[in-house]
Amino acid sequence: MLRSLLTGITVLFCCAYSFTQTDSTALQGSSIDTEIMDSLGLVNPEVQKKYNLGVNALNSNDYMLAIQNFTEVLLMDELYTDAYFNRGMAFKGLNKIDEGVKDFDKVIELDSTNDEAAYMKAQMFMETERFDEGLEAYLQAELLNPKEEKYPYYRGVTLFQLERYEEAIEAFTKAIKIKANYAYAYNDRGSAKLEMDNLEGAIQDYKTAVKHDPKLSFAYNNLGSAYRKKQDYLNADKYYSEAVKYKKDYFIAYNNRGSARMENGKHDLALNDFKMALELNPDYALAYNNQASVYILQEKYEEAVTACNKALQLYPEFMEAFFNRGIAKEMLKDVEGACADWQDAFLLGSENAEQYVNSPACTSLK
Amino acid sequence: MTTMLKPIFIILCLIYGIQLSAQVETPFDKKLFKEQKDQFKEAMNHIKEGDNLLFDPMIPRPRAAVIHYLKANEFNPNSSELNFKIAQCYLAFDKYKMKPYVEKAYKLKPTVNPLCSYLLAQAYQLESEWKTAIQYYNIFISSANTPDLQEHKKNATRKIQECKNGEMLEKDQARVWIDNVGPMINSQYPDYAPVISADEAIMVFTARRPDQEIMAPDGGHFEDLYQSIRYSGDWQKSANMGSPLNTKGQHDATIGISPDGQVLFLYINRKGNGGDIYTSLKEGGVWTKPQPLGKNINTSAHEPDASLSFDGNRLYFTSNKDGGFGEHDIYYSDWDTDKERWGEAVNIGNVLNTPYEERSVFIHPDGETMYFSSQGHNSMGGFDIFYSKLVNGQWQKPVNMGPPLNTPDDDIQLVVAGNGRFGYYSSYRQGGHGEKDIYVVTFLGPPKQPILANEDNLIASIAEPIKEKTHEPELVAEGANMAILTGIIRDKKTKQPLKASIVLVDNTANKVIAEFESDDQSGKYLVSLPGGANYGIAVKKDGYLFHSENFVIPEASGFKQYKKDADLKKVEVGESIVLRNIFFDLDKYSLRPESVNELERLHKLLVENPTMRIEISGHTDTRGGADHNQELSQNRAKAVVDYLVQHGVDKSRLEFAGYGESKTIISDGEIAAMKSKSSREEAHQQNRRTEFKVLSM
Repeated sequence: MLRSLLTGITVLFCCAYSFTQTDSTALQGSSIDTEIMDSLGLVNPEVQKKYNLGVNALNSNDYMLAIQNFTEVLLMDELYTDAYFNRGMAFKGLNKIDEGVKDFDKVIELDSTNDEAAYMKAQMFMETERFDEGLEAYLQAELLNPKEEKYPYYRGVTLFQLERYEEAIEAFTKAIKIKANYAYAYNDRGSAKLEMDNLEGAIQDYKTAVKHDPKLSFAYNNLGSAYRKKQDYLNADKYYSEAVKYKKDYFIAYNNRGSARMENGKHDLALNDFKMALELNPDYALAYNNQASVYILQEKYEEAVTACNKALQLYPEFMEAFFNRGIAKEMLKDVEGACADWQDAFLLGSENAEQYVNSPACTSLK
Repeated sequence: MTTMLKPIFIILCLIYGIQLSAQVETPFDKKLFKEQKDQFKEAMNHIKEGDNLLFDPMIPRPRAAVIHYLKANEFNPNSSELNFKIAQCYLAFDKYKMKPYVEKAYKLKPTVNPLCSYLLAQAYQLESEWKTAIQYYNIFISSANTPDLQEHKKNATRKIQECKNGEMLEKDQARVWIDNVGPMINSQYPDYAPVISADEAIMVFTARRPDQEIMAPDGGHFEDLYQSIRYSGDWQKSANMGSPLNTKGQHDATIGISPDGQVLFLYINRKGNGGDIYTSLKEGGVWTKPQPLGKNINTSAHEPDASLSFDGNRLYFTSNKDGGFGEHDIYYSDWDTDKERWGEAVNIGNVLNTPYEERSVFIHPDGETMYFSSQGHNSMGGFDIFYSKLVNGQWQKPVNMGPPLNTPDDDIQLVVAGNGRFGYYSSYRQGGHGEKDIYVVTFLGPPKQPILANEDNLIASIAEPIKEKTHEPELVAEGANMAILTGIIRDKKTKQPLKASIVLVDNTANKVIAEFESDDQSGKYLVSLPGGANYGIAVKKDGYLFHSENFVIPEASGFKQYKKDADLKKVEVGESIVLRNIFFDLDKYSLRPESVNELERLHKLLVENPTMRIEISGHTDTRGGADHNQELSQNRAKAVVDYLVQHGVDKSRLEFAGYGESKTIISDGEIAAMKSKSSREEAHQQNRRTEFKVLSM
């Protein structure tokens, strides 16, 4: 779980960063046409020159040089907001969080409307897993710019990944209040509701998401999963199929549809879906594990062991694959091998595997 | 042969040749075999010899008879009568071989014998061809109009029901493996009736091997008892148990063993009183001469099965004595401690007993599961193995254990190990070592559900989704709900094995459940602890400090096996022991009522040693504040001292001290390194304790 969480947080940061790149400028102020400014008598040409050198260094990822130039600028003009912001960006590039935060705070002190400085702070905290401070920074950004729907949205995403679902729902709701047709926020609120076992609420949100964005494949996938949890396999199949209709290479949806079909007793159709998921992504360990699950139900234990082996080659800490391989090995009368696999699954967090490890099947071994 | 006769012979040969290949009824009529007089005569002699053996009014000998019949059948395979006789022989000792013969007999002449269709139906039933079997039973019923067939007609109706049961039961096959237990136990001779100790350390079984020169009247070898020991999970080479269990020129058969392997039950039929239950005890490493159980168990009727409860206080057995519900019924008798004998036998009732046969009773060491064989209930043919659970003191409706354990033939004598994972029984199956063999049944439990891995609940901002949290289905604990406690009792200093008394107490009910003794040669002991109780176990021996253990076995907790060796300390100055069965309320120092037995043991020790002075010390685990723990442990030690003083022990002989968390048995570091929460909790429990130490004598 920790691994997934960290992956998620990192990816969130990437996405957030990308959002900044597209929706605003990473650098504030950019370089200045010194001649024009000079003719207007607005800036000190020396300041301007150093500032421009700093911007160029930042653009070429030479953070040390950028910091040196912006620091010199600030020695000459201590109220130069953009220089603080950009030096903060350079510190961020060097992963010097505390120094960067200090600069962004200075930006906000000088310019109480600068929500982007707060947002950058949030990103830096998230990147270093200082989640509580990151959440505070998001809230600060929201206060500075209450009309920007993305701040509560990203706060919601962070809360979701921290498994604080109730708070995540509040944050997504806030984003939706700002932007009524915010499909992503509806989708994500639906997922938070699903985590809280509010199946009906989740379905409603996913449906609203696809109403606002009818090609939102992952929302269809989520709808499929919600119906799968309700054991409404007809609707699960329908929505997973919609997901793959809008995203032809959506191997996750194929894998999920396979699971729904397997749970519905349609083993051959399930195997076809897992096969398709693997054609689209041959390194998709989950589909190998699920293939193994079908093979176990079909009493094809040797095939199940082979599929689990592949899953474990791709993901050596795959608890479910150890668990399932144990089942298949037991049925092949390799009880010792089965118990070793359950022991591994237990160490990876499976409670059922712990029970098997402590059962007479394993304790009665020599 | 004259030239004139030649054409006639050729014609006859052709006619009979055609007849033979077309399988036309060809009776043993000498007119039909004029040209094969000698062979005909020889075949007839074989038939006559076979008849003498099969229809011997003293002891029918079908095994010997069939050899003659088969020889005659080589000469003329198309006699319905001979084929029927061969089928009759096989029915007696190797039923699975009878089908081709009875099928042929019926095909050649359905009316060869009024029972032909009945026998054919049985052959189909044995092969689980249920519908065809029913068809032939119905044919038999419609034709069986004479008075002498009415009993068979009644049986046929019952067998039709068995076939219907079989059809139903086959749809839900039991999840078991059935494996030959191997050549260390099985031989080319009949090996059967295994009994095991609860921990599967000992197996005793019956075999008919050529260990005796004299042959039994039925042409086979006499039954003897054999034993195999399991070492490192492998059964060792079985050996004849010798005298006094085995006797020359007599059948000696095993029927039961106590869970600790110290008491053996035998079936002996020597006095012509229908066959009785005998018992032999293991004393000094050898088995005593078998002695018959009392009159409350053995009667003039047939008592062929026995099984002892985990506490040794109740004996389950079968008898066909008058007053039952049918043929053999299951009875029980409780040990009368005052009279030191088994009490009046009580019929276990008609939930388990039927108008038909109930045999091979086996009470599991969990005390709440009974296995037995019955021809009644929903048997699919002959004896099937059933189990019943004891719920709130009532035996529940028996459950047929189903195929592949049960077959349309007789399935009997299943014994199940304490862990519930393995059972043993004998069966005559293809691929064995010869005749009946002993098989191990592995109970796989309910199907294990594989776990799917999915990615859903995707959130939009995340390029790669979070893997779905695994929702594992809730599991029911597998195996029997019980624990087995085994170990060796020794002198702490000399390490010599000791024969000591082991007292098993239900702490909740404050009741002594049973008292056992460890083996005087090896010091080994075994105690079964059924689920749903808090057990106190005290090991006692004169001249030694007692040793106590405590086990809580919750309901539905599955099976656990513990090994606890106890090194008893002589009553000497400086020795100390942990009082595992003294209990306090959580975070309090008031003694719980279930501590009484342990306190009384301590009290008795002080009474028996009037000059002994002791220190009672309290210890806690490391959770909670150190000061609080110190105070708590001090108060708890004082509470024990107060109890002893209130019960007459002079205060001057008693000291108390609280050590809080300062003297743990298992360190925090060791606990932190433990992988499972339950192990860590057990370690904390080891640290929370009350001890006493001998200060002076």
